[in-house]
Amino acid sequence: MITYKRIFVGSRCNNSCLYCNEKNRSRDPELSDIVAQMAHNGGLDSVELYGGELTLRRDLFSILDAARNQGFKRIKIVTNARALADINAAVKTVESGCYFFEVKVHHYQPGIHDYVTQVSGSLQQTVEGIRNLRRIDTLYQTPFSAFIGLRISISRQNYKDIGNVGLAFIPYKIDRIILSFDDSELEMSKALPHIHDAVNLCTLNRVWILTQRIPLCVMMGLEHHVSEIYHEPDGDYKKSKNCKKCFYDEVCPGMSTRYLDNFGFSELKPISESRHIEDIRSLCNEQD
Amino acid sequence: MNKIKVVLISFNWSNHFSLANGYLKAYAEKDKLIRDNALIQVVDFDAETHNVQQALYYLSKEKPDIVGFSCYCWNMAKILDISRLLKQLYPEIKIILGGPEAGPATQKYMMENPAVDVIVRGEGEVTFQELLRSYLGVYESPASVKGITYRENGRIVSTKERPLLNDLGDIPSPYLTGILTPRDDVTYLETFRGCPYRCAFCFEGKNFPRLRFFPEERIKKEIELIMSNRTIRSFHVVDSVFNLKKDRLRRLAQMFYDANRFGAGMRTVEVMAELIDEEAIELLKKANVLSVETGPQTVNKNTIKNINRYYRKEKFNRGIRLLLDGGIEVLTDLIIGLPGDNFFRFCRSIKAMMRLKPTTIVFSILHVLPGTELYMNSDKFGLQFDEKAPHLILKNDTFPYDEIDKAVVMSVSVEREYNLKLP
Repeated sequence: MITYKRIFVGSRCNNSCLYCNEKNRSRDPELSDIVAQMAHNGGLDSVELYGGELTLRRDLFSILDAARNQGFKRIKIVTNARALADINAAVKTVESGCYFFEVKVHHYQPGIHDYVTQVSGSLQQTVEGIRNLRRIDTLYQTPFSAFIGLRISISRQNYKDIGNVGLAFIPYKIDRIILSFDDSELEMSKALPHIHDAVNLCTLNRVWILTQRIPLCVMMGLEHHVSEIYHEPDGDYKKSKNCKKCFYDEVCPGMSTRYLDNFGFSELKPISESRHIEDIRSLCNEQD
Repeated sequence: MNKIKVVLISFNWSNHFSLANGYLKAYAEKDKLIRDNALIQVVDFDAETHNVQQALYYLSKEKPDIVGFSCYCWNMAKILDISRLLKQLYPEIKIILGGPEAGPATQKYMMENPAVDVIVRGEGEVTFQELLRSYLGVYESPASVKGITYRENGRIVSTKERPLLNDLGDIPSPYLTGILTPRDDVTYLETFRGCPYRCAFCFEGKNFPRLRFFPEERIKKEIELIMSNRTIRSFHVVDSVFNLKKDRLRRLAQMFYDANRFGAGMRTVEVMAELIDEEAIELLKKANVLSVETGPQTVNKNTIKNINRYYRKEKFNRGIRLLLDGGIEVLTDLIIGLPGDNFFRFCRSIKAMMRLKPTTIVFSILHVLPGTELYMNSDKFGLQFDEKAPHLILKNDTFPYDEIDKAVVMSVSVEREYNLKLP
C-alpha cells in the first residue's frame, strides 16, 4: 500500500524476457535525468527504480546515493537479481541503502524460466541472488533483513503451474508475491482458475499475494488481492462500454490495451452485485 | 519455625521483569508477620525462550510452599501447564493465580484446572497479603479474605469483592525497597493506575475507571534511582495515558529533566495523540521521551463507535504531525478484527495511517479479553473468539474468518515493508 515514486532507469538488461514491457524504450536516462526525477518526489518518501536491469548500470551506487540524499526512506529496485548472485554486489547494494527488492521470476524450472528470459543459466543466478539477499543479515549481522518481493509474469509458459511457481520460492522467506498478467497472447480465461488457485495457495502458506493487470470482475471473491485497488494503476489500460454497467467500474482500471487488441472484451462481464463495493470505493477514495 | 517459601512467577516478553510481582512482594512484606515467617521470591521467566520444563525444574529445586503466577493472555497456557504438572509432582504446594487473565474468569479457570487452589480477583496487593496471613494461620480459613475465589470441600467459593486501594502510596516501591533492580531497556515505571477512556477491547478502563496516582515524591525518588544508573539508556512508563493532564505532565517532565544526568530516554510511552499540542511536545522532549505509542486502532466511524474509542481525526493527525516534527518517534496501532471493520475497512485504516507517515505502524489481532466490554457484549457484535487464551478473534458480524486471516497475512507483509526504512 506504500506509494512509490516510480523512476525508469533504462532498458538495458541481461535478460531478454519474451513479455518485457520495457525493452523497446528509446534511450537510457542519464544519472542527471534520474536525479532530476527524484527531486520531484511529490511528497513521496519511497522510490522504486525499474528498468531494464538497474544492477548493470555502472553508476548504480551513485543512483542509490542520490536516492538516499534526496531523503527517500525506502529505495526499491525491480531486478532479476542475477548480478546479486555475487555476494559482494548484494552486500554493497544493501549497504548503499537499498533494502527492497522486487525480483522477477518466471518459473522454478530452469528450462522454462530460461526460455522466457532467453538466457541459459539465468534462473540459477536469480535464485542465488535471492539467497544472498536473504542471508546478508545473518552473515553480516545487520539489524534488519531485506524485503524481498517476487514479481511473476503470468505467461503461456507458466500459467498452468503458476501456484507452484510461487510456492517454490516461499522457502526463501518471500515477503510478497505479485502475479502480473503480462502475456497479451494468453487467453485470460484459461489462466484464471490457476491464478485463483495460486492466490489461495500462497495465502494458505502465509505469503501475501497480489495480482496486476487482472480486472476486478474476474476476481470475484478474491478482490482483496487486486493490486489496483491499493495503488494507482500503472500502464496502458482500457475499458469496454459494458464496463460502465459494472459495479466495479469506478474502482477498476480495466484491462491492458494490448491484451484487448488480441482478445477483445468478451471475457469481461459486468458485475451486478458485490458486498464489497462500498468499502472498496471508500478505500480507493481514502483521502486526508 | 521454618519460614514458608513463596515464589512469585511471571513469564514476560523481551526480557522484561514483572512490576506486578514486585508490588505484591513489596506490599506483603509491609506486614511483620509475613516478614518474620515467609520468604518471598520474585522470579521472571522469558515468555519466548523459557518453557514449562525450565520453570518446573526451578520449582522442584526450590520446593516452595506457595507459588503465585501473574497471568496475562500471552502466558496463561504455559502457566496452566506448569500448575497441572507441579500439582502432580508436589500436591501439597498451594497454587495461586492472579492478574488480568485469571481474575475476570475465575469460575472457568477454577473448574477447568483442578490444580489451581486460589485465584485473586482484581487488584492484588492487599488480597495477596491477607491470603499469606491466612496461610500463616491468622485467619481460620481464606473465607474472610476479600477478592478471592478458592476451593472449599470440593466447592468453588468466591468471597466478596475487594475494593481498590484508595491510596497507591500504601504500596511500597519495588525499586526503592530493592526488590526490583532497574535495568537498561526493560524497566517499567508506573505513575498512576486507571484510564479515563473506556475502549471496549481494553481491560484497564473498565476495571480501573478511577484514576489513582502514586505520590509524586515517591515517583521522583524512583526516577532519581533509575536515572542515576549510568547503564540505563532507556526505560518505559506504563501509564495508560502519559499526557493525560498537562499540569501533571509539566511536573513529571521537570522531574525527568532534573534527574537525567546520563541522557536516558523513555521509549514507547502511551499517549493520546489528540491531546498533543506544542507545549506537550516541549514537555515530552524535556522529559526525553524518545518514542510514543498511540491509537487509533481503526479510523472507521462505525467501528470506533462500537469499540467506544476516543478518536478525533483532525486532532489525531495534528498530534502525530507535531510529534514527528518534534523529533519524537511515533508508533501508531491498528487492530485486526474489530467489530464493524472488515478487510477493506481495515485497509482503509492502514492507508490513513501511511498518509500520516508515523515512524512505525504496529498491527495486532484483536484479543477478546475476559473482563472487557467486548468479552461481555460479544453477542451484540457476533464476536466469536478462541475461549482459550490469548482469546484471538475468529470472526464477527462484519469480518468473516477468511478475511481476518487474509488481513493477518497481509499485515505481516505491509508491516515489514512500511517499518523497514532508512534512518
